Amino acid sequence: MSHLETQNLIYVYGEGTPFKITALDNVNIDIQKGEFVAIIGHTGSGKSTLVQHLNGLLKPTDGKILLDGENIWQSKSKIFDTRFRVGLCFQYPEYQLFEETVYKDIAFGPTNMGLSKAEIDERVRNAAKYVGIPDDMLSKSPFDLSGGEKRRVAIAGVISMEPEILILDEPTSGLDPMGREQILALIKNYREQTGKTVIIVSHSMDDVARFATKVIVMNSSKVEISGTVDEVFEKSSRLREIGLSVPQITEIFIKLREKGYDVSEKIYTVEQGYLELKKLFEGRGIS
Amino acid sequence: MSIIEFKNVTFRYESDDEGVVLAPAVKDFSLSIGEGEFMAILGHNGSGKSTLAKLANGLLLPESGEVIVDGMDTKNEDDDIKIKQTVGVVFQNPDNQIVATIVEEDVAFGPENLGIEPAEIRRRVDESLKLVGMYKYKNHEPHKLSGGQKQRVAIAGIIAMEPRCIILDEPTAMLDPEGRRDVMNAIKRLNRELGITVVFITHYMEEACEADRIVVMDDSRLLLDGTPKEVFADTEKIRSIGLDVPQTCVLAKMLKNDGINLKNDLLSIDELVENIDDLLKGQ
Repeated sequence: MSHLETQNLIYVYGEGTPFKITALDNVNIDIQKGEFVAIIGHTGSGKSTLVQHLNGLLKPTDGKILLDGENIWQSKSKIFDTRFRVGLCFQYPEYQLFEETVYKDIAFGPTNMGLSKAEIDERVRNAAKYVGIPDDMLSKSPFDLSGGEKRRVAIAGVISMEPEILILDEPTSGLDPMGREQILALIKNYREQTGKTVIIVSHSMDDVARFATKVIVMNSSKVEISGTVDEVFEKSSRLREIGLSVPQITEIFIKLREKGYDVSEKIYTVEQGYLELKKLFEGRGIS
Repeated sequence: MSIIEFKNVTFRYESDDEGVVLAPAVKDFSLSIGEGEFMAILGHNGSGKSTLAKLANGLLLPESGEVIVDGMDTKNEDDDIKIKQTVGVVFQNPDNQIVATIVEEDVAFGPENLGIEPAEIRRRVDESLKLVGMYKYKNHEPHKLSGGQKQRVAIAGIIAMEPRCIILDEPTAMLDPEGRRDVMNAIKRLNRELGITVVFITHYMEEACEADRIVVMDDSRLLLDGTPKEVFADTEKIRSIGLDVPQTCVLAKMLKNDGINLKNDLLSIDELVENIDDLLKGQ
């Protein structure tokens, strides 16, 4: 059975006004437990609207969202429960920090869940560990931290609710290469250690190729392609048509194929590219 | 002739806590920026890039050393207005830079404050908005625009003051790929068509590659200075300070280490593919 599923999901902004926009048009996605899903698409394709439905922040105009087979909107208690089971971390989450200390900010979610003090404490410290926030930082004001640190605190604030599904909307945007690598590494570790389902919204094809087990490509409010990394990047010309690209490395191999060389197109990382080119050179007696 | 010159500049911020002395944000930094140049300044967070932008037009003053803008010392208060008219700065977050409720009024804000004639303001606003591709939005409300569109309005607002040099401090950091492309195109036109000196601060190496010259900052100092090909030839050095190198450079380097005779200065995908093709054909 699917862990999280949408059935003919439709969402319309501004219904009944001249500004009516269909942001999601008959979207069907299907996510299994433990998957690492990347949702990609250019701006306005419906990515953020889609993820905001997955924890019940937006209510569908039509269609259903099923969590472990049950409609999340079937009752008041069900939707309340869903918001703790599916954790959503927005874009630029550091702008949502508001408490006096880092500790209190991370504790905000678990406190609202009505947990005991001891449990809250354990969760705060656990979450801080996952995102690499040291103990002495917990007593600081979140506003004294660097941009990358703030973002990690904000992510810890979602992790501390121990959601079964963690959704991050463009978790690396605006960060420098080092900050980006740190965030991606912590998400990867979190997933490996907890085995939980992770969904990220991303613009970076390179990151998607490295981490995702499943890719969902959104275009004009619809799911354009859905599948493994191989299945999605195979359709490079279609991706380009809808304003997306394939990883740089993949493009090198597409161009070599166009020139008539027998190389694989399923090359997404520098290491894979290196091995494939080495094979090519050795085959021709050059090395 | 250089339009901005940093001469052994050191700058440090003041700490909020009394008696605490912070490390310098810029240390003994010297750089000469020529009129008409298109320069990228590359560095990770905290390397001192943004401080440079603020020093360049007198928003910050050096603790020691000098910043000379078109022959004027930024420490000289009498030249302050002239310096700020010569060097305009665009910052990272477009939401913090828009002051009016209509796009064209926002662009007119700068020239109005310079006391320019209304007819001339009209001309400048229209020209600036056309240059950044936002003319058809001139009567729109800025808050309803996308991030990339807002940033282009902010750039138009600076162009309308007709500065000779524009410094852009990570203008694309908060934008999506499409918005980044549009802003990059607008910036390139400023330099290529109007001859304005552009200093472009970024941590995206793909964007830095479009400049004629790249200056790499690390730990408050200048680390490398050269053309994109020269700078990215040193892949290890760039990676060691936490910056990205184009994947083509990394791949070429790995193959070269194995004794494959590729060229030293391959930057673009096409250059690499051509070079591999030539080698395999035995040329």
